[in-house]
Amino acid sequence: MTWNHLPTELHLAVARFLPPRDTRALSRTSRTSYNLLAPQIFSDVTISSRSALRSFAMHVPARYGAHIRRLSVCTKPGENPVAQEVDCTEDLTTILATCSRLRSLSLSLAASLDTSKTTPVFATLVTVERFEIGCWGQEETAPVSERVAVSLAASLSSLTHLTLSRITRSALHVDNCSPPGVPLVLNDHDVPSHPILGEELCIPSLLKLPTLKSLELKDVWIDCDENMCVQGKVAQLERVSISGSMYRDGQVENKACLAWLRACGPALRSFKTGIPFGGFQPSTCLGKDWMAAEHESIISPLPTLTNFHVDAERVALDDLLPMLNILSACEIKRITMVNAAMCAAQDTFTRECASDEFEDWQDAIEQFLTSNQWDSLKSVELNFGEGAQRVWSL
Amino acid sequence: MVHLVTSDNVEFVVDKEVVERSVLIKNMLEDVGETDQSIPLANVSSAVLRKVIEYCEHHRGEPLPSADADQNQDETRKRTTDISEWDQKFITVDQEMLFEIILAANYLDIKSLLDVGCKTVANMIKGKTPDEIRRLFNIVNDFTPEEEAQIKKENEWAEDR
Repeated sequence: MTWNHLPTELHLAVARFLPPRDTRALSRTSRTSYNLLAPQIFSDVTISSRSALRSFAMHVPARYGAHIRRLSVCTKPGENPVAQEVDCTEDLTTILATCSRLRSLSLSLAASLDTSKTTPVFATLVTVERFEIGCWGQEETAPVSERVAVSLAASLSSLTHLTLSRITRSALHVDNCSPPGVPLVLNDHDVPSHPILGEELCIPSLLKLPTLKSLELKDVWIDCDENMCVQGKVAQLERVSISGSMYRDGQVENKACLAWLRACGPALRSFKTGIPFGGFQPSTCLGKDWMAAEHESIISPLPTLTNFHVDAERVALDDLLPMLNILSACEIKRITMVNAAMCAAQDTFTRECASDEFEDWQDAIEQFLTSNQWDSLKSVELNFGEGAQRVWSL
Repeated sequence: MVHLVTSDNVEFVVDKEVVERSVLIKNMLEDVGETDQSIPLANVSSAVLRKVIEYCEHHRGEPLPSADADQNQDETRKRTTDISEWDQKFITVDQEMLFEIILAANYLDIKSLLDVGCKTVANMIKGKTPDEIRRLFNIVNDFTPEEEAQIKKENEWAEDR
């Protein structure tokens, strides 16, 4: 009995446990192995540089495109200097045009794309449900415009999960509210009008996409959305995550975050924030009088939420209670507060810091639970890593 | 007790609880009911069945993977090629026996044993070049030089970091 005598399905069973590099090595041992493992090799493709993108577009036969389910592309400069001058748009569209069964697409862009060429190809990607687009370089020098990101996302007819990462707002949409120091894209007026969204290719227009269920804004400047008003919202967003941006103006960003929460619609069940949106209210006022005053000022009601997640790495403890008070009418069932950086840290000093901070947060939660009666609340979870975790089951 | 007869005509009498780690035999026993008749295992030799029974006895009483959980478990299994200490010692056999155990585990439908065997082979492959893998498993390189050059090009994208 040898490897060659094992039936095909057992060769595949072994390959299931191999990382991509070793799967490729095994595939290159014989013609049979290559034909057998090509679908696995090409099912999950990670292209990690501009030169790799060039190489894929030039040398990988188009027939392998049908195997690709997950495609992740980064267009950072690679090792091959010849490829540095080539526009990524053409290579990317060449590859995408072959991906008839793609489910998930991730783009980390070192330079913007020509949407007049990419949008038509995106419209053919009818099986893509997850799309992530972000800026690989610096927003100041090589930004990816919201108009590009929104136009591409809106072209994916089955899109349910969208992540925008360090996408830069367009001067066309936010000109009247941009403070100095916040990078804006100035030359994106040539992004073609979109069949669904028309010229309104700003991030809040994503609320008009009927299939979208989950939206994540990572390090995206949202201060300009403070007074957002989207006509014709049809998205049934169930999950939204807004991390906050390094360019924020605290007060304005807080209001903008709350504006987003209000705009998300009634289907929303989970909201995660790194922005302390209660901070612009008097932080000492926890009573019912203040709550009544707050309710009067509400333009549209806050959605009913099942889960509320606080990014405890970005939200200061002083801002926690004011934020929770704003949400008292949301019938939240579960609150989780996680500091991911502290969860990941192993060194003694950080663990000690985590332990101290955990104690402070724990006291604040105890105070909140004592002074508030949220009938719907079933659990509160606090996690600052090993030895600094607690769950309150109510 | 259940009577099993191997391809080389050796009879094994095994505790039902032990032998039922094989989904094939478990289903067979459910279909046939209690019986004193021997179950023929034409694809398994006595040397291999002895090893399989040793494995099943050691893992007696452990929960069997449910059909519903398959997909999640598949994901978990993909992430790790860790093998427990006892399993590692158990599977330290020559290559021929290793492949025989894998075949038998597949035929008898013992998922956890199949995984241990496949993980062991995967661990043997890891970090090796195509040439080294060929030597390890006696695989004949049947690519023409042109095909080999084409495949090298087809895979260049994965080497460029």
